[in-house]
Amino acid sequence: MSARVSSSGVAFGRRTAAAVLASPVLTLLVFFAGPLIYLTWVSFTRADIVGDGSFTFDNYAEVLGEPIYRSIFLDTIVITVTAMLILFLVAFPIASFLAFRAGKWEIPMLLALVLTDELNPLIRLYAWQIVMNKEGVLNRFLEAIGLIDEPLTILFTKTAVVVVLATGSLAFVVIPIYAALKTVNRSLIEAARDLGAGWVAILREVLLPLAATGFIAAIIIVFVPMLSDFASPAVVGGREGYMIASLIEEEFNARGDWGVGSALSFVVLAISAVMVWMSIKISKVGRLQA
Amino acid sequence: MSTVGERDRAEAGGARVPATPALELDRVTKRFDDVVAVDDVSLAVDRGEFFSLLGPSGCGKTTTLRMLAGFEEPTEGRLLLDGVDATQIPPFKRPTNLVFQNYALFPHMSVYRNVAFGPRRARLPKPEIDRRVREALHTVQMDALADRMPTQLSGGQQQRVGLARALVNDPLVLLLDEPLGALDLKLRKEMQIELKRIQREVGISFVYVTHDQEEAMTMSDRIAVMSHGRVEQLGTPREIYFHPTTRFVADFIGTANLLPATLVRSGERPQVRIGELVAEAGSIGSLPGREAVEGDPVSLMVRPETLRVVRERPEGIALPVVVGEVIFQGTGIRLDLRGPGEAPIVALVPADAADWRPGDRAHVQWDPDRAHVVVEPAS
Repeated sequence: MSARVSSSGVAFGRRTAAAVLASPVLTLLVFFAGPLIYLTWVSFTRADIVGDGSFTFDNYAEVLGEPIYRSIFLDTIVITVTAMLILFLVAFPIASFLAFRAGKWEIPMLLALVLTDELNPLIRLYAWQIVMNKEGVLNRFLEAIGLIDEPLTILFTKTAVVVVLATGSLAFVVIPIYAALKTVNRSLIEAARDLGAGWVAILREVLLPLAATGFIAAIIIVFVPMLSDFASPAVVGGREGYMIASLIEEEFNARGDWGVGSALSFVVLAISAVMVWMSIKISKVGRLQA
Repeated sequence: MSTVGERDRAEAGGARVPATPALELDRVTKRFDDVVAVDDVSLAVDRGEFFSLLGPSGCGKTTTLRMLAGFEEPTEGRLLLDGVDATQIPPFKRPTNLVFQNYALFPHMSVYRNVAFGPRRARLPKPEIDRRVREALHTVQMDALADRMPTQLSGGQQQRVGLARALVNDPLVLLLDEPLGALDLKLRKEMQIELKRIQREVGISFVYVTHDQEEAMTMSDRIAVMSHGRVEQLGTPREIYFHPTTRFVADFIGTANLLPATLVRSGERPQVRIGELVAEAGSIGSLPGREAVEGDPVSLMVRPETLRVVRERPEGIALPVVVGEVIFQGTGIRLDLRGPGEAPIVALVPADAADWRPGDRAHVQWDPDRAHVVVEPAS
């Protein structure tokens, strides 16, 4: 009796689950998997303006072989990794302050941090353009305090893109690290102090290793969007701060070569996948230790 | 009072050798804002001594320990380690090490690396670190589990590692903050014996914080009973058990019958009046400045296990009682009795004693030598 009730309950649960899952699964299939499969197919065909749509490996050969593409890939990775490192350097002290020292300011400061990320990204980008312009606020300021005689070229360089990327995702890096540090029991820090560790040793031996999961979460959340960022290089990058997403856009829109554009997209996807896979692997090692 | 103390110390095994104490608190007070956590505490811990700070939560014992470790700075007073003023020395430079109640093992390090943390900070040569770590792990019988992670260990094993991690640094004083508090009763009892063995083996002074009076009695050479930030009494377990100086101590340590009485005669053989009876006691305890004189209200303390319960009125001094509850406890029978004026009296009698039932009339008698007068009156 009770078995029948529970088994019918399970059947009902399954049907409900199927109904609930149907719409997201369908949406993903139609709008996510569909285009992806289509692009996969396009990346293996001659699909430029004079292409006949026949099967080919040429697109991948071109993307992986041409020095110009390779140098743009390299630039993109250098810019992204540099921005990521700067983000970590800025985010870790903020996260530790929030986790251990902020006291009653902890929640207000977290909210303020989230708020900065609510700012429209385009407004932020154009604001940076104004700041980094030849006649911009930054150059005026540096001239005024006598650090430079002639305005520096900051806008439309790799540096400009790095600065914009490194300031754009602060909350997404601070919060996972803050959350990881928050789980570190205060008595661990006291134990380290008691056993003869100064602040440097506490940081190196206790806090950084225990915050590792936070760093990895931050990499997963922030690295992929930065790697494929399109707006920042377009607005402040110029020719020098050119990144892979701009190239893909150009292949599709300006040159009409869907084949190469698709192949480029898949290479970016592959790089992202490798990065995320590596992060997860490292985090698994970290969890085993924890 | 002092005569009693000396007698007990002699019983405990000879006079103590005068030497620089390992640790000394000199009139230490700690205030947090308006709250006085530790109030004018002075005490000294000898080399190789097992010293306990005992008291209920909020009595200031943990704050005292944290000042010894260097995590809190005294508001007033001085702390001396090996005769040297250490009040301003930060924790990582102090010759003290702490064992935490929640173990506080580094979760990302193996047992071995946890224990090696201190020696590595001290930049000892690698072979020396290895030798010390293995020795410390051997002392706490954890040699076999050196490569485990803390999460793979039971609570008792984790605390062994915590102990090894502190001992490996060969501290002048080892500080223990309710280290067995998170363990279940059976394991706690085993670990008490184990801790005492380890302490004897390594010969380091232990300062042990606990709220468990039985635990303090089992392990300590001396105990400081604390209440409201003050040391109520400092002495050997025997002194504190048989000759408490205050009502609080009598009540906190074990079970005590405190019979309201009036002091008849002070001194060597004190006498008190309980109702119509005049009873003699073995000793009288009081704090300096609180010496009682004839006629003062006091309490006569008799421990439950020193009471004899008989049906017929015996010769000599005895109180008439009525049996309330009869509770079988395995090792004996606990009788909850009502004395004159409904005063509750607890007696512990052998399990094979007479068959008592609630409502029985009886008389209690005690050995005057084991009765003790506490100057504060029973409330």
